[in-house]
Amino acid sequence: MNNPILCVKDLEKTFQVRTGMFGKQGIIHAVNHVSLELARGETLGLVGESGCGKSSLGRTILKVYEPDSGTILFDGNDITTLSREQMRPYRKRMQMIFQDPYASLNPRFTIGEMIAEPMKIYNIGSADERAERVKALLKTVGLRPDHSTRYPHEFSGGQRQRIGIARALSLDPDFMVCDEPISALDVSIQAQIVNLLEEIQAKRNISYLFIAHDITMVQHISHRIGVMYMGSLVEVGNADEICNDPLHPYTKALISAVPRPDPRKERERTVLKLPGETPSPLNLPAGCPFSLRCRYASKRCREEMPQLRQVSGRTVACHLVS
Amino acid sequence: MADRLLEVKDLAVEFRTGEGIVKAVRGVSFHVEKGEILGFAGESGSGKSVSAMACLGLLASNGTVTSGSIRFAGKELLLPKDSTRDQLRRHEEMLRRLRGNEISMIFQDPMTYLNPVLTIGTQLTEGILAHTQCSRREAWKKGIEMLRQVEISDPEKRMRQYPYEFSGGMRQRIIIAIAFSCDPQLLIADEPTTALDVTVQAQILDLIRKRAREKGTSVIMITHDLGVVASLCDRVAVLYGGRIEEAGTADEIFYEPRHPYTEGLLSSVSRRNSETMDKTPLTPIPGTPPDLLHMNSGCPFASRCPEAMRICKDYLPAISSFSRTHDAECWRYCRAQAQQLILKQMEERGERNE
Repeated sequence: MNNPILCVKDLEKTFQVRTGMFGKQGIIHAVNHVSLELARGETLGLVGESGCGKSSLGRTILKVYEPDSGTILFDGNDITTLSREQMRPYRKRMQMIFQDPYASLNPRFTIGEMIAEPMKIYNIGSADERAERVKALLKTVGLRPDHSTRYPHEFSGGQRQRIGIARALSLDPDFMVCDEPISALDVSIQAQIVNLLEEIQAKRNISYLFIAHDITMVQHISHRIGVMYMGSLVEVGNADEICNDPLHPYTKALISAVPRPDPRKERERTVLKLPGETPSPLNLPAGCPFSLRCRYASKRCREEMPQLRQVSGRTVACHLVS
Repeated sequence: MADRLLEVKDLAVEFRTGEGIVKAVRGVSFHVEKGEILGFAGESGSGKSVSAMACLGLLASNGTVTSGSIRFAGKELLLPKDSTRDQLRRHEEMLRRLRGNEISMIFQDPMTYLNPVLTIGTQLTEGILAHTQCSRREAWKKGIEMLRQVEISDPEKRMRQYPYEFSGGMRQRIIIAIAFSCDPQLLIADEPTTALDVTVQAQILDLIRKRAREKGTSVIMITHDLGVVASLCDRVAVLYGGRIEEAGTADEIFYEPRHPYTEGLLSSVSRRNSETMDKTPLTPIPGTPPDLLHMNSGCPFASRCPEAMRICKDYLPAISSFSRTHDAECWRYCRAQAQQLILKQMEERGERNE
């Protein structure tokens, strides 16, 4: 990839946990040696089941969590070990929108104050200029400029998500982590937000890391999709290819489980059943994280961790795919 | 008509709140046949859960059924308003025998539905012991059998464990085992897979489908996920703002939608052209979900409908039938009636002006 906005290499993030009140210390590998690249103006969708580490990956990339090892190159600059102060110029260019539009807005701020806050922190413009920009941003996200004096409780879920987007846009970022931005919304509103995000991307050439569990929507918005399982990226590739012709056994099972709004196709769909339950993230197997549930797993899979490699135009981490 | 297990007519439910009366359900009629899976599709606040809960007599204390009739297996489940105390008590007793026995329910959140301080076995046998004449030992055996049916391994050991020892998907399967333990005729599933991952969702849907096909259990599946509706349901009722806007077989709803809301809902989700496999662009429904406190007297969808006429806000449209199974209520299919109404309205206004 030429001049990617984001290049993550071998990123690792672990959390220490104690199991139970008197339990032993354990280590959860939330992000386990993940490498990925994101081009300018591209959307990379991240899918996987709850607890697979998609949100942790997004947050570690933004350095909300301090990474344990690996490197994060943002626009060619290594930001992995920068201090909070040194991060400031980069923070401005990377933003986040959150899942819960009810929890991510401060109820004591007016909409205008909230959207202007990031600009205030970065000393951008005079108060009047900021107010002008707030109005323009509100228009961009499909709200009325006179909404800026209202409080969050006066808005519906979809409108609040628009406010969150306007706030993220206020510093003109190059990269946004969208962490489940539509899963708390009604179906008819989800489409509004997805279209808005696409529109903004087309105008401003922003790159998105789009985290969601709704694979149908991820397929719609993403150029490429990355599939995560227990902290590892198991397959990355073109969105339609991943969904129509998955290579990794886990991707196959995941995609086969997605119900599509099309009764005729649904009658033909067969779900590839995964034996057992999702294993505890506390004790990762030495080999492939999926080997415990994979029907094709061999001795090699259980002992040796497969690396991501190129297979017919995409990257897969599986010993068996050739 | 003989095989209609549940027949609901003109059901209306209101909730008294601090801000006023919320008309959550405004006259819905539907039926469930034996062994059929009926989907209730709709967004939050559409009245889909309330309609189903009313059938079980399980409304919050500020809610009342203001009109309608609910007949289950020939019995009327709603009491007339002027019933005596004695009638009320006997009716409550009858409902209690019905709940968990002939009609059971699965809820959305498997993490909060099980009692954390009781073993799975205790919770699983509670219903069996309450509704059937059997010993504890028999009930325990039946419980083990139920766990096996929902594909939980090592059921003998699992019966003695507590909910925290199970994952979310397993808890939901245990809840399903509880729901099926008394061989209900009707299962009401209120968003049973919303909190679960897709792979687990597939297992749960499979269990429900199998039960309906093999034992002839009827199911009302409440969901906002059109994929779930398409994969599971025989018939679908699309709810919006407390009305059933359209009802039909899954194929009729997905391939020949008649109501503008159904059309809008379907174009809000990402679908593929079946021949070219091309993405169809998303066309969202403009506006925001209805405010149930301030509803107009007409079609609830009127304020967001791209084709709304003046009459839509004030009058509920009549039901138009498109096939034996397919109904929709929209003024665009009864324009002649609409015109008559408008004329009448104008006449009345004219008289008032004089």
